[in-house]
Amino acid sequence: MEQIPLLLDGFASALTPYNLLFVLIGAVLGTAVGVLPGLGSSMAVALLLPITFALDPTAAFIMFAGVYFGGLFGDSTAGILLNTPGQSSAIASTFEGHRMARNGRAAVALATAAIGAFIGGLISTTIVVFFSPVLVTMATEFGPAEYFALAVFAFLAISSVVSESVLRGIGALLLGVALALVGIDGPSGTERYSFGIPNLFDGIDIVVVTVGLLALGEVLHAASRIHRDPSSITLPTGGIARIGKQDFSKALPAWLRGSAFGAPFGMIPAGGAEVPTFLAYGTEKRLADRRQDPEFGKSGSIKGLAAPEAAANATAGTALGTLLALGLPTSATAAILLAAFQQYGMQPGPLLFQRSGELVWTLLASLFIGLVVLLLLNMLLAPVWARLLFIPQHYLYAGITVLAMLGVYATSSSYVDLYLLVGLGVLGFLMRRFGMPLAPLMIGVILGPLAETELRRALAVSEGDPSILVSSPITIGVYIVLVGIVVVSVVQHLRHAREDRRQQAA
Amino acid sequence: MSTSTPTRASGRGALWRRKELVMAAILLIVGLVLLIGAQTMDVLGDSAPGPQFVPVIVGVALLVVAVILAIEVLRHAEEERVLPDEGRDISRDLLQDLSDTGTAEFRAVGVADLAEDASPAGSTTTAATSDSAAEPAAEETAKKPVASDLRTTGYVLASLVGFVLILPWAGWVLSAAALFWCVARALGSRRTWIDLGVALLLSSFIQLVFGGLLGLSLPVLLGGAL
Repeated sequence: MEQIPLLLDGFASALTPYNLLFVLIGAVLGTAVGVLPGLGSSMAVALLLPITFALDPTAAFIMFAGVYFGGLFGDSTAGILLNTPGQSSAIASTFEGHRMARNGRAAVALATAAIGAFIGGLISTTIVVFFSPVLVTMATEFGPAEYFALAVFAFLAISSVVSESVLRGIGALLLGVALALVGIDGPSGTERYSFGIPNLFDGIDIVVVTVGLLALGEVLHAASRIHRDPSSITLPTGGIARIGKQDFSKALPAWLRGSAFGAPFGMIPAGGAEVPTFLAYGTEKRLADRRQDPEFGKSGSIKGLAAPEAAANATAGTALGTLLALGLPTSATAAILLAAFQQYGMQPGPLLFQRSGELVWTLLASLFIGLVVLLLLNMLLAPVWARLLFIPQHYLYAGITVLAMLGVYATSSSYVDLYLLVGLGVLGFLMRRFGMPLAPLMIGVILGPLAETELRRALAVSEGDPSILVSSPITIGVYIVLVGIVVVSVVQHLRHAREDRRQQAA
Repeated sequence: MSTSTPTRASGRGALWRRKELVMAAILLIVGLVLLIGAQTMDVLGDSAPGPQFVPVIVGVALLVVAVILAIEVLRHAEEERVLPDEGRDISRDLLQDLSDTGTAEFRAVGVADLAEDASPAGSTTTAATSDSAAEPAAEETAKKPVASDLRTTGYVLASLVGFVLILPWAGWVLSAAALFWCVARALGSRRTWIDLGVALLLSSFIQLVFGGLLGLSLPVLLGGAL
């Protein structure tokens, strides 16, 4: 248990007034961005990245700790009060959460969400503390072929299994990989697809891609609908978020079950928290059916809200662990954090704990502090956050546009990046418009460089013999699981298609 | 725009209903750029596989996907095919199976995203390939091409490009305020002077915090010559 003294050292360096101030700033900004409709935690991190450049690495990462979880605390607020989840991982908690709010239990719902996020984050961060050394040991077993297998797993899982249309998913994935090819090729030093523009030699910044596709794409998409859609009604919070003893003991098992679903999924590069949140919600629904719970699906069940909320944050916590120990980003948020580490000259992965151990443990300690701060902020200030939902939409989107431009310009001071940003915004708009999923593109950009480097490294070692890619037990295992998942998903798509046809005929 | 369909009052043509070809074209162009670039690349070093290896694979795959997508779009015009929910990346089939929920559950969430007011074009209900009878007709029309308000989108896009063009010489405070004002106006704000005040306040505040406190350099008016 060498982790405990290391973690205590981390607390010692995080618990200074100066650093606490940055946890607080990060938590406030993260929650605020998360509450705003249409913006999730990845946008929070992307937009706030430039602010941290003026800080020293420790303060910067402490602030990120607050932002990272803050976005997740905030995004269920919009779902509960407005029935519009901030990002897709909050959909499952919206089902029962909004029902509770409609029945005058908004304060309880907000408290359940906040405590759920707190418990999920707490459990998964604890797991990271104790299991990251195990992950680090495991990572030393990983060669190029293993990393490539993991990347292929992530590619296919996100583009074919999780996406609505396999063809559009793969198309989006390939676009992402293509974007990641721009810039000087690391191994050979060859200039690729930069068209002689010096700004492109370093490739396209992940911040530009995220902000362009997600933020500007969202603004353009909103512009195409704002005069067509009716506006929805925001429900009152009913004072500060609070929860009674009876409700608490009802929700507690659901929080724990939700965390158990979420924690393993953060380690798998399969695209974020949607799957575990829905698994957690489905489990609560089946349990409620068995117990004949009258609240579920009617007046809103506290358990149906507690479980997915805990699952979402548990996924986020362990995703951070995978990033730190393996250097493998499993979500867009993790990828931006990876970029932030690289900005400070640090490379997440097995060596990070040795080379920058002090910083890593301070970061982990700040995650715990951030969770406590966020719990207080979200319980006591719930009515304040809810006020953000009353910002008129035209101001909201205008503000997002200005912040997007600021974020990108402040990162690079380059006008080329601003044109790229606008171009990617148009691409994001077109993809939303034609139902092409954005998540595979993000994964392509994030893992494309890793997949290429490891593939070429493996083939260079084997002198071009592709059998090296399936020569170890780990790689074979990964591919077998992948084939299994693909088969299940094909059966699922076919079954639903058949049901649809039958219903249509009826 | 050759033929108009009897089902639509707006009389959109056959090509118009196949606008998704734009997406196939993007995939095709990116694929071609990758392949041509791989051929003309000025390769340094003699590593094998070299820097062209992956671009060629991705390029060929892009061409294949583009062709299949184009065929699919040509065979099924937009009205005959249920588009996945816009902006929602995750397979609804998967999520329904995981959570044991019905389609109606998903309909209930995100009313603002999906619902559509009864615009003239929206009132025509085509033979929907809907998977549940409970699906409101309004939601079906939200997926229709006519739902996009391209004028507003174009105005916002023009504001974005305009901002990037004037930023180098107008400086951050003025260009950011102009951007904010234009976007807010395009999205339906009608309070001209209040908007202007809010815009200038926001851009100046950012200039103060970022330029003053955090020491990031933002462009100033005429490069600071004044």
